[in-house]
Amino acid sequence: MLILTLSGVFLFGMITSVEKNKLNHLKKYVLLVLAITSLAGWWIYSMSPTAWENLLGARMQDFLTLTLSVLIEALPFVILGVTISVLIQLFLPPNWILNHLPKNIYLRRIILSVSGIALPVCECGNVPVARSLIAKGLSPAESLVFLFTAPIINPITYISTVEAFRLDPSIVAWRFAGALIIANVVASLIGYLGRSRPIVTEEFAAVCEADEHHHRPTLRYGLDLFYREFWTVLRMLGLGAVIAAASQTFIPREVVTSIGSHGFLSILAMISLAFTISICSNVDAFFALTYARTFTSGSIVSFLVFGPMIDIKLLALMKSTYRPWVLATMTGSVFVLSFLLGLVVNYVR
Amino acid sequence: MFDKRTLRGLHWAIGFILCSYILRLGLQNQLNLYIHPRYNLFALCMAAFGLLLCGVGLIMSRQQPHSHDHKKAKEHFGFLDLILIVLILCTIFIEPKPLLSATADQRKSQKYISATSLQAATSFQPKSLIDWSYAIYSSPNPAIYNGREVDIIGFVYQPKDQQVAPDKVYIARFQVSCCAVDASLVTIPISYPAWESRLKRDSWVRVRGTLSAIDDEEPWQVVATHADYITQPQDPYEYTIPQ
Repeated sequence: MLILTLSGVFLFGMITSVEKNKLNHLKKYVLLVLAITSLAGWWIYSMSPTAWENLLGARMQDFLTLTLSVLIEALPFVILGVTISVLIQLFLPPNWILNHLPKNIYLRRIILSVSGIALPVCECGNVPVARSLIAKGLSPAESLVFLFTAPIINPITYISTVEAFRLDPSIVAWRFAGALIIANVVASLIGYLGRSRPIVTEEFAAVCEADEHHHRPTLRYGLDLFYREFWTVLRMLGLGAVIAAASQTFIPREVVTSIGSHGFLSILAMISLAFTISICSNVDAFFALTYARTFTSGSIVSFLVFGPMIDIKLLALMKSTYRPWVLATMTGSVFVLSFLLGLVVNYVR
Repeated sequence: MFDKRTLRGLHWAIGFILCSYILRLGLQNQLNLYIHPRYNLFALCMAAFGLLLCGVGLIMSRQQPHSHDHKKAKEHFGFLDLILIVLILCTIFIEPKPLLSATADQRKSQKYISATSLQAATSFQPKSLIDWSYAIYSSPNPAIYNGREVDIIGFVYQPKDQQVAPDKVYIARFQVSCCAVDASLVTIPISYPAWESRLKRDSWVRVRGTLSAIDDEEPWQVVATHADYITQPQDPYEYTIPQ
């Protein structure tokens, strides 16, 4: 009841504050409907707590249970992941990594490939890190090695993938090996093509000189960082959870199993899914788990490798740094390689 | 448009309510409707920590925001925010419930499940529904179970794509290895005359009877002597990995 009252007060406060700020009509309308619905809901609930169960179909009830299950399973991992990422951004000096990278190109690639172990930030947090690395003098092609491997080869992603696939540990191995290979191949390809043309955008090249101002690690700044990452991840997670649950509840079983058991189509379906839902790599294993029983193992691995490297949200973020031809080449090559990886896994298992 | 401060306040509040929801479920012993119990402690600790952070963030967002955001941070109330708000309203108004027939219809009943606790098949004493299903379908010599007394708990399930038989229905249980999305269905057919007038679908029952071999289509079933309604068990799912 306390929560109900609080949320009522909160919604009311929101609407009044919205009035002041001249929210456009549609959004005001949506909020009003929400507020009225929740008040009506509250009223029905206070009369009879079981009324909802009869109102809500069994299918909707299960849909809700599944959605919340993804959310509840993943939220603690999100909090942990974002907290660690914020701590690193607060306390690790920005050029520390660059100063400690070896000069030998192969050794440097190897170190960059596994540097995610020390920097467990998820993919959106990685773009700023990669930017600062380039600004500090790392070659743009090598920044891609970091950008692609760090979201996968890091402790949080490792723990959540192992936890999700306890019954099938080989998925974890495939995911990590696949990420290492694909990231290095794609980075080399871009490096090769980039010999004759620029890789980073003009705007970013200009920013590179000016961008560096280090913040003092204050509570407010830390919270600011936490807010930005936490919220980006949480809202994507909400959408991902709804999609995962809906595909389990509303799409007929026959359709799901016929696509999922098809060696070729299942990979295509999972990669498209990874591209559109843009779920964070720290928790995408729980999402993939939804499909683990119906989809081929290869398609699950493709999803887990492709998703952290390329998706709508990441492309939007990376557009600020890399030129269009780089984005197109990396999307194409990561797609082809993840697809091949999926086929190999399907063939081997 | 919201101003940035209000929007931040809203976002912190959403995080706050979600964390408090996890804590509430934990206090009411209902987390296991969603996730495997081995996560309970971790989930509760992180939720408490998240609650603290979101609380502080909420309070501090009331003060003038420190302008660390560069221009790129586009902040506006969107569809994704709406999804989370609707989900939060659902958590407030709708009682948590375990998965039942609606999801069961979406899953195929698993017959060959691997339960980690079942290595030694010979000395194995099946107790739960899932144990029994495993014992019957994976034993090289299932005949040894013929005539054995069975005492199992599950919910009443009639598959949507099967014709209703007057004296045959299924008792079902979900098995979870990580969280509810990976729940797999395990069923055992029971023979119980005129079940439709005596058992309500999706209700939890305790069934006692004997195991017997029958026709070719469904090689085994439990001939039920008793089927009594029970309250929903504390752990509605069974778990593949020991807690």
